[in-house]
Amino acid sequence: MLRFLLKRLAASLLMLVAVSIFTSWMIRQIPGDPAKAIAGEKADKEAVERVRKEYGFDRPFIVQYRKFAGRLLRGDLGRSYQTGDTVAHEIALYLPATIELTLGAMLFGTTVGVLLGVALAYRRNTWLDSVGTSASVVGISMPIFWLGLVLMFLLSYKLHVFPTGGRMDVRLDPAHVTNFYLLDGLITRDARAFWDALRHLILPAVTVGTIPLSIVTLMTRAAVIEELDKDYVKTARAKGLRERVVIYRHALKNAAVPILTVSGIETAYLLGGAILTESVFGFQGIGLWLLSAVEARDYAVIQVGVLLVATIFILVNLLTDIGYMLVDPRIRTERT
Amino acid sequence: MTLFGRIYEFLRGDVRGRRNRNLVAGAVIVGALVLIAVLADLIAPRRLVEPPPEPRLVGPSLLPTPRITLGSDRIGRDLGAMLVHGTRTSLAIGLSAALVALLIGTAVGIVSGTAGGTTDNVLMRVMDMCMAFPAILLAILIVSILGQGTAQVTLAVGLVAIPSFARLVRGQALVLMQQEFVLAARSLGTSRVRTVLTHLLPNCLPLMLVQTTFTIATAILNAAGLSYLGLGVRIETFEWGAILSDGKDRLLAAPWIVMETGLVILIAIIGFNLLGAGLRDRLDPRMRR
Repeated sequence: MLRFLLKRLAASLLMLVAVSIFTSWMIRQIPGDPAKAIAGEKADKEAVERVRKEYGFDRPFIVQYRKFAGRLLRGDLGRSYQTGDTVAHEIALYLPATIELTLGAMLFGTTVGVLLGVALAYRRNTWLDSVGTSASVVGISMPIFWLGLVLMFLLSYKLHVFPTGGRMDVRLDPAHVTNFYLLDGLITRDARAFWDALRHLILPAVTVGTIPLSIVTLMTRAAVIEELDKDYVKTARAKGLRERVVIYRHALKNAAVPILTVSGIETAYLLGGAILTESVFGFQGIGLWLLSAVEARDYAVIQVGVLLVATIFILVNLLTDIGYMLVDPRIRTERT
Repeated sequence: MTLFGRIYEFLRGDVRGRRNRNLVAGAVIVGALVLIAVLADLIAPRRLVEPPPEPRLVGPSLLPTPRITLGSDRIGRDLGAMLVHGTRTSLAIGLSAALVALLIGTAVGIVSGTAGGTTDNVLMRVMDMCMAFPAILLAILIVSILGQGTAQVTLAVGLVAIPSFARLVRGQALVLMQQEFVLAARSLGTSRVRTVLTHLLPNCLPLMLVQTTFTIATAILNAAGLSYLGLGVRIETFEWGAILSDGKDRLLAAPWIVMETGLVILIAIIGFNLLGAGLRDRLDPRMRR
């Protein structure tokens, strides 16, 4: 098991290096002169050339990449050309927002999805099953930027249940320790800040979580139905165990592997969905940050930001693989 | 049997003893969309999508009005007519993007699956790498390199769909390469190219068809997402995402623009997804009867 873990870890690291080369190369292909972008529109030719030399844009790609990678390894992520702020600081500012958003979405998608999936499996071929399955098919096909706008229109503008956007009411301005607004609210024991942050988080999280919710529901339903037909379930029932125990302790546990697989795939939807959803709700996270960097041709930010997203993705996949081993003893023994 | 007879028989085919409702529903929705796209100029004359001399906002009305049943857009164009013409653009983008993914993805998958060894390893690692980015992020990067426009967006959403295609075809090719009829052909001295053309590709066809259908759905969705972010095609093409993006600033004054356009996108995506699921069940011999 340890050998498998190490092998997986090495593969992930290698993938990260490849991804960093790939993104650096991609960024260089974006048309426009980065030196000009940094020097500003009004800068004369000499100033632009000076910037070009200073940042090394005149050097070959390999040299530039080595310099970038070297700085990265020393923990220096560079500076945003646009704001002058360090990229590391901006990440500390915006990453927590995206993590809160995706975790919230995942929590919503997975818990509601598993419960719904079990319920549908248990009542298969009834009207409830048909409605639930059809709703999930609609959910999977959802253009989430539209869903975000619909939720915002109905619940924020019309019914005033939720705020219309952003991460927090600007008038509150509470102390931020970690920039995880929910966590900050707990740390500083500021109930109002916590409540406000939560209210701002719910609609975006539901929006991002809808596609994962639908996928998890369908997968759980299928996995549990398959398990319910097996002999051990009949045995459990014959023993006189309560239905709740049969389903949650026995069937659901064995259906965990396919459900977990989906959770891994979900990450792609979550991160992709976060980019669109942050834009809909003006939820200041990594997605909005990257979008404004792309618009401003802020190469330093794009390069690190894209790499960051890929890193999160690779990490989650690694964790999913480890999760497999934990739930399924067959996989655990097979690979040791 | 006539063409329509064949199509009818195909749709009626039972899957696991039940009607293939997904296939029928998907085919009806997609068929209607294709019809609308082809007949766009007949259904909604061009003059309806020209901006009127004076901008005005007309809400949708349930009464059969002479025109503008679905309301107007921000500057007074007939929204319904715009959506009809947008069907053409959006379907064209989805279809062309899926073709890009189909051609390149299949090529990569077949080469990877038949060559094995280092070639397979390198190709698959490259595909893995591309899959480490959310598709929409990769599409954003590609569009910022290629620039905006219908062709560029099509290419971007097509390129990001390649990896899943390649993986799928490779998997199928690996399985087929171990099948006896392929082994027999190989041992009789059939060349690799011939094996691919006569044995592998025909047997991958159902899988490719299903994946293409799903890819059209994601391509339309991703293209609309790009347009929503202001990185996609221009509103003049009436691409659905562009219409929605154009209307989002008037969400309060003219909510119907966003609502109706999004609903059209949703129905189209559902249609292609149902068609894909239906085809998958119909074409899988294990699911017959």
